[in-house]
Amino acid sequence: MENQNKIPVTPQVAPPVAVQPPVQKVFKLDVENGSGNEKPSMLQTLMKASGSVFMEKMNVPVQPVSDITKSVLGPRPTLGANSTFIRQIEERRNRKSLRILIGTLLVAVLVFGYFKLALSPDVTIFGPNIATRFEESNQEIKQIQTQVNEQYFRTARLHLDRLSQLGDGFRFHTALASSATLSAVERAESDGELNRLRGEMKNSLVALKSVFIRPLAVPMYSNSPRTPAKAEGEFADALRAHLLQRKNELGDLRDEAVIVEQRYLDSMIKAVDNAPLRRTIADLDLDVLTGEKITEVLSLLQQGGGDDLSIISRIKEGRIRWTEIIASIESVTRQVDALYGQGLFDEIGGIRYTDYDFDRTTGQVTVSGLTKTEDSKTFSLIANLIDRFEKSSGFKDIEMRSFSKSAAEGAGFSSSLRLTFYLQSGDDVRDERIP
Amino acid sequence: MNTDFLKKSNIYLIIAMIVIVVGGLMSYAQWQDYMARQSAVSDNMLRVSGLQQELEKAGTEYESMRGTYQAEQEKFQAQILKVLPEGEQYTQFTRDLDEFFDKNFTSRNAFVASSARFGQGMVAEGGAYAVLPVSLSVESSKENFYKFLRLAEESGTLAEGQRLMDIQSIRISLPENPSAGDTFTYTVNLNAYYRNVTK
Repeated sequence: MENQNKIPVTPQVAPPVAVQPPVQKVFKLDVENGSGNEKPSMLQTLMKASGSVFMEKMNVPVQPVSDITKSVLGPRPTLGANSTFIRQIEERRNRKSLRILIGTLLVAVLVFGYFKLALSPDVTIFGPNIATRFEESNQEIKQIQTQVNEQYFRTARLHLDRLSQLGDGFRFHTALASSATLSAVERAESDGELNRLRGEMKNSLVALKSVFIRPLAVPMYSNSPRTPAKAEGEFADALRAHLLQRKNELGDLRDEAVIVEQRYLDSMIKAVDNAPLRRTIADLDLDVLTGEKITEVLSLLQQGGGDDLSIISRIKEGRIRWTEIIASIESVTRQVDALYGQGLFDEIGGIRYTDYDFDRTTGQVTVSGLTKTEDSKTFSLIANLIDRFEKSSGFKDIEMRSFSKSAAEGAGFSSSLRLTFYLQSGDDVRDERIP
Repeated sequence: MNTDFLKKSNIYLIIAMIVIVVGGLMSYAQWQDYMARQSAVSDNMLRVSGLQQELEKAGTEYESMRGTYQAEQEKFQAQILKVLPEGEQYTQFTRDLDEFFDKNFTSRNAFVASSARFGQGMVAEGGAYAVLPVSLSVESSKENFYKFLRLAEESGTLAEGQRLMDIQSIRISLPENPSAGDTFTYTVNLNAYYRNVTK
């Protein structure tokens, strides 16, 4: 018993064991190598769940599992030396990720494709899409608004023609009112006519203002922002193109009705192009309608116009009023010879003209005649006349460089006269220099 | 850690996520565009009917105005044609001048055109209109001389209906010893204008 209890204390030396390097086992799970009937341990479950990637990468040496841990962790998993399974999981994960990516890309392509189909006006495979319908509805609005503008411009053309017609008389009587040769009765008649014309023109301007004050453009949905001026320009272009198209569609140009319609369309196109006129009329204060304002409107009306009335107005404005020129020559002459034109030349002397020569192209005027004085200073009389002409604001470049005189017994001295000068428009410094 | 993160499967997922985020944002923008257009189309349809009504109203207004101005318009066109006729029409112009001289001729106020010469018509201002040169030799009193000048100066007025003229030159010869009622002669070169029908 004692012996049994005594345990010889002998150092138990373990038999020398060949020291082996620790087994560098790679932790690999090989379920296939197991029995297949064993219930997977917790470790196996954990490993399955978390994946073995980490452990595989770390190359953790595998320690023998103690019995205690065996009961806790379950049977030791059988580790295989190959990585087929893990690789398969990895590949499965890659495939899954790739499938997700492809699926995402596919959805993205589908979504973009749908929007491309819906928002691109060029795509009409499935009929008009929203973009096409958007463009079409915008186009329809533009088209109808252009037709509305056409109707308003047809009305405006009527009033513009009326204004031109009245303006012709207005210009005539305005010019007449400033004429020096007009009698008091004629002036009063002219003033009355001017007032009547002004009243009628105001009516036309009221109607025109109501047309031109409304914008040509209507608000429209657009992909890019548009300024009101740009929109106005776009609608003006559309109206011009529309009217030109109407003009091109006209039939036989020998037909009187067609010719008239063509003139109307030309007149309307001119009104579309004449934005300053439209703006001026739209901004008019009709309560204070001065003669100057009417003249400004009339000038704008004929601006750049190739129509008949504009041509007529342009030619009329370029004309010289010869009655005024002759009246001016006589007025200047009276400054030197107070009795000029009284029929006293033979008795008293002075100046008498015998020939006038007016040339509109060069603006040159040649006046020939006689001068007669009691004393011998006929040359001085002519010199004074030259100076008076030069000083006047209507004439310039007076020339008479050759003088000749003759004396008649008991009849004083006489001298022939030939003055050449030009019509002056604008200022001439010599007008001020001559005393 | 980095090499783990850059694994193929993760890269796929990251790309997918980027596609989802970017695509989502872009799709949202496209969807908004789509909805905006749809709303614009509905609104445009409503506005089209409004504009149709306005077109009808403007057309009626024009037709009514046209009726009122019809006679006025025809008169206006006739006046223009009188002032700026189509073609030279020098025979009519001759008759008009003769009528004027005859109307103003009295025993005390002579007014005789001794000669009238018409040149060849020529286009002016790039074909906008044409010019007929006319040369007249006239013998008249001073009073009638001024009447003639006024006729030329006031020609082209629609209300007067006198053919548009512009005096180019005047040469007047007065008698050496004039007395009241004396006549004098003058030569007037003027342009009579007409519409260039070939334009």
